[in-house]
Amino acid sequence: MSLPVARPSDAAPRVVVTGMGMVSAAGNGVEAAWQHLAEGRSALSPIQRFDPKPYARAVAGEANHLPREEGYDRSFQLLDLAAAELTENSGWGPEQTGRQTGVVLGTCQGSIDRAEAIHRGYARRPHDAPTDDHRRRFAAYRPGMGTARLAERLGIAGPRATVGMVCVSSSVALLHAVELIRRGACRRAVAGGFEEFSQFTFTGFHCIGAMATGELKPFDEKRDGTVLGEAAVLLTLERLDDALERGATILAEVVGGGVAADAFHMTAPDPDGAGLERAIRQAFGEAGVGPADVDYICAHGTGTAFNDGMESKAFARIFAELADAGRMPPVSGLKSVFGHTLGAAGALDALVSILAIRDRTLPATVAHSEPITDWDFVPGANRKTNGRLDLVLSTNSAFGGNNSAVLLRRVKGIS
Amino acid sequence: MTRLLISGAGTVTWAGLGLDALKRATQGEVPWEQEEPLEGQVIDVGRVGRINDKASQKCYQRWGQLDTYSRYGFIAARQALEDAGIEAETPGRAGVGVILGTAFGCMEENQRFDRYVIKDGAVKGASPLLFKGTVDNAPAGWIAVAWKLKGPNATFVSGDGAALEALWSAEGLLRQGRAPALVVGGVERFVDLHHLLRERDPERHGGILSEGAGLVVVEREDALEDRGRSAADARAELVGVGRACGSLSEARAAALERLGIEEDEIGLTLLATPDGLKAQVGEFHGAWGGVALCAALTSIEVDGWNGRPCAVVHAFGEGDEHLFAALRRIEEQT
Repeated sequence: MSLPVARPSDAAPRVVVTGMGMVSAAGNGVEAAWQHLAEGRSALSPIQRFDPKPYARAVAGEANHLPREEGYDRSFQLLDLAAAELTENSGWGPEQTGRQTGVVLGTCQGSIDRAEAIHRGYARRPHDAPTDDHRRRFAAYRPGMGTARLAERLGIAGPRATVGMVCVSSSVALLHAVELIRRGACRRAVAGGFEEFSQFTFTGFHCIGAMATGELKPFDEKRDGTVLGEAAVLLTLERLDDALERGATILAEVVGGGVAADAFHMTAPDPDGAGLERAIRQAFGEAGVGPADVDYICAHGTGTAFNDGMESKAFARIFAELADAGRMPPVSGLKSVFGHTLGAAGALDALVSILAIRDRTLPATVAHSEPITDWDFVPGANRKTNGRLDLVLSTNSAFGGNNSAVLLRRVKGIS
Repeated sequence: MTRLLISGAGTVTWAGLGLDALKRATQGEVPWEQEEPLEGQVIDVGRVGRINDKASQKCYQRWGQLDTYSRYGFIAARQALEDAGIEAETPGRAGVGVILGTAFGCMEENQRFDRYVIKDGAVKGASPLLFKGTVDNAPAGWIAVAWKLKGPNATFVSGDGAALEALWSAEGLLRQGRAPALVVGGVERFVDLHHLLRERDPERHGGILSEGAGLVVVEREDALEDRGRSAADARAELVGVGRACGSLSEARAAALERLGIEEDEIGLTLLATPDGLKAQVGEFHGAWGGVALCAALTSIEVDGWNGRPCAVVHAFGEGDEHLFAALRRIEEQT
């Protein structure tokens, strides 16, 4: 049977974004990231974390402005900084803590950098008596510990969940947080994702041949792979009625979402992009919109031949009529600026989509010279638009054959 | 509103494969394994170990590539789909999805992959095959690929409440019409490192470590009927998943009120406390909720939920949240 995706009932609260916090290779803060895109400037730089010579790949999106502190978990460091900005610009105070506030984060590997020390130390001598350091490191290892840490820091005592779905982790986390609010499990939530740059993950991407030999070039004929980055990205979500009552800045509304599997291969996407297409159509169904309503697409755009080819095919089918009429919405990929931040990527894309709505500005695809189609990939630097920029589609895809789509809309007269 | 029905179930535990093995474990008929993680410290465990299931091997040619964690989920999914009668030609099968929970996920594969070395200026021993398993959503991915399940697919890594978090999410997805049916539950594989947890926090993690999977197929009643079956063929109705914060008793009362379940309707409550079912089957961590759901289903045959229509499965969420899954016997069967 094929079912139409139900629209949320009229009784379900509308869920809006009221605050953002971020740290990435582009620096601390949302505006630092936006400035990089505005100037068409990549934040990728030579790898500092380890000697990259054996890999013949020299760049990454490391947050090098943050010194790594011995004994201090890198992912916690990223989360703490993003949380500080979030607290400031969301206007959340003591009234927004407690059991009516939830937190949902996505991550691919959690605190993997510290875990490596256990893998390479204790785990190879498991019959040795463990030290306190081993126990501490192991306790921090579990992916959900980042979520717990953030909840404690922000005084959140409501629902907590962590999503482990590689590159769609934080977009799914965002949609799960929306569900928690709509279904009454809490009135507001922090949603987002985090990922630290590690040699472990770098080695993995190296061994599957997914790394770029040079620049990361989303949707470019000369693309040949991705570049890894690190980030923590957080958003505050709350009921529209609550946000209005407290006079919050309403940045956008989450109006639809979709998640679908390729069921094709564990690491390669379905080359036709059928799974992504299903996810997008679910999101359209939930929001009650169609392709002609979309003003901009913030694509996953990893810069790999497979991903960008697959995404293009999915978009080509969904937006065929508009493309034929010369009205294809602009598409861009952000990873040439930040690197691929894996578990944080979905939240990062959602955050930049919100900035696009806020400033009526199309985010750039930096490092883009030979587009794979004749669509507008916003090459070079951000571009202000005089046209409508009210509804943004943000898409992500991941290992395991997962695809996600998130629709963010301007709340007219408010955003 | 269409009902949500549990049309299939499957488990992997140290007691063996399937609900009958789990039933024997709940009745204390299956002895624990013993391990010595530290010299002189012999402990009971519910270890499954690397398992080779011929039936799974037969239904998926790449079975050999699956890591142990994924195998647990895969085998339980195979049983649950077979139990539900969902096969290649089943109408709507492509729309079926997979929503799983785990606490520790792919920890073993992370450890195995991390044996690579930098030698003579090159990376040696980094295996693409192992890297494939270093993602928490590996079981959900393999299940989707093997059975061509193209519906929603998600994995929660939300501690001991992960399987019921997955069930809470699945309930919403099904009621919204995003899938006709979902394979839902929890999977857990424990490694030697888990003993560190016991040492660090024996009060919280002092129970018997067990591993495996407990998965159910939750299906919309209209979808079940579309494929020529009826509610009478299902194992139970999923009334819903309630979640609330506070003490166990406060949270239970609040969750049941939201679910519309009266106290006198409940004939079985499986709490996630150490003196409850966990004393018989072990901790299971992220797989707990799924295994406990399956245990509740086996209990229908044993004592008919003491003649009452409902059963409740509890899991500790993260922080001070509790999750409760409520099941109802199918009236058509009684």
